[in-house]
Amino acid sequence: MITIEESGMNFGPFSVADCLELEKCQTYNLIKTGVKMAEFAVIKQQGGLPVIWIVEAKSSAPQPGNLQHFSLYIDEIRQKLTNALQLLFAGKLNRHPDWNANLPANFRGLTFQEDFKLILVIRGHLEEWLPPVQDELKLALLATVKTMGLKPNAVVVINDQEATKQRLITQVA
Amino acid sequence: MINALQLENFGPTHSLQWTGLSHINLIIGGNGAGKTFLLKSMYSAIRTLEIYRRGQEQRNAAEILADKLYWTFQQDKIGDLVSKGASTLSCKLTVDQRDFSYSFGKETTKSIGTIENHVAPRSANSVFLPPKEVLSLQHIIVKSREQDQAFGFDDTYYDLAKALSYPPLQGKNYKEFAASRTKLEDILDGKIEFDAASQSWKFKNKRNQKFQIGATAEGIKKIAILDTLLGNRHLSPDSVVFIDEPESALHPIAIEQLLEIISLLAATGIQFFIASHSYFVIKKLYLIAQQKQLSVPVLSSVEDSWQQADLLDGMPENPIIRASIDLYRKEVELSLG
Repeated sequence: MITIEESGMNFGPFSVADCLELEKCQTYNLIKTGVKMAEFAVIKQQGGLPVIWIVEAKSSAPQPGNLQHFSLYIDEIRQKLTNALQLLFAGKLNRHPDWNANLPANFRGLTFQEDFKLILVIRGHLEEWLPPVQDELKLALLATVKTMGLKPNAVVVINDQEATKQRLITQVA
Repeated sequence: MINALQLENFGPTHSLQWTGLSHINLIIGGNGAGKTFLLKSMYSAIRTLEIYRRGQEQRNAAEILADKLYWTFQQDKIGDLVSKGASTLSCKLTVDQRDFSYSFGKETTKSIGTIENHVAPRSANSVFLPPKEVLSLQHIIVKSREQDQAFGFDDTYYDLAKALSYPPLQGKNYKEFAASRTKLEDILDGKIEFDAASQSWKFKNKRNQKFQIGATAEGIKKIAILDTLLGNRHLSPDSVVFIDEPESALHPIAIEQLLEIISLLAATGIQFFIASHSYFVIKKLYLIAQQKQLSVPVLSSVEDSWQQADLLDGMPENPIIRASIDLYRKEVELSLG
């Protein structure tokens, strides 16, 4: 089993075969200069089918009223989630020679026709502050969602309470 | 300005004491919560105070009030305004720190027995902007009241239709209103004008093209009404403006702009009471309260009672606000299962 500590939250435990720590993987380490990356990708079961959740964790979010900070924040998350999705697809298409060396076992069996979810978890964010952040991130990722053929509800923003309910985290550190 | 309102057994409201009122005040609640009733209770009282002793007006305050209540609420008898199960209603309005109060029983037809007025005569005019526009119906509204003396369009519509018929005054307008009117006309992309030849309202855009008012969007008519009342000086810095559902027929961007203008007008002295069930309206007023550090008292209908809060302290707990979070929750549930 694997547990990932990020932004004051303990993600997991996930089966080693289901979880790819994107930020620590060998391929990312070779290309990381100038490339922002989400924390990890994990295979979850929804309705009996595997779904790939790409997760970025944050310990806070600026208020939408603070336009400049908020735009920068949303754009950073957009880059991380988009880059993670593209890296997964590029790896699947064998565009990186070392991709398969340390790939978790269950990722090898994916067809990539599965559903993908792009998830931002913000620690300690009040529930009533989440809808505007989700709306803004959805808008920022609209082109990615469309071009990659994801479902319209692929982008989700939740706090640590919801992440606990979804069994993404076990505890807030 | 109205400083406080106290109602007992007034229609759907059994007991309410709303104090600490500001220049922008909000009433929120679902359909049937009694928002319009509340606005009308204040409107009929403040208009009574404004008509009383004006010019050659000979009626006493009780007579003016009875008439105003009858034509504003359009019940068979004003006693029908008393809440079911109660025997008398009472209303107390504090205006400019002085009290105006009255009460009457459920059998009252015309004569209001108890009335007490300590408010100085008012020269300002207050208006009520109902959810439906009145420009294209102006003649019909005036005819139905003046010729037919029929129920249908209540005094909120009739008074507004009359106020709009006053021509724009030449000369300098209140300088406080100049910035607001420019912004209003920017939203409108033109202005409305009364065409004496055809005896009808026309919309003239900034390219000087004229359109019949009936062919103009509802939202434009609504904003144009406010512009016209500022232009003909019916409104002054001491006016009270009651707006029932500003969101009706307005695009969310136009709602935001309208509320921005309302905040400018409020800074000139005009007092606003806004009834709404729109999340956009609440959120925008919350942002105005925060940006300008302005008190925006909010009366919120929750399970048959009124709860008081101030948008300066944050968004209030209310089913309308909850609805937005519920939609978010459903979306998360749909996505993550």
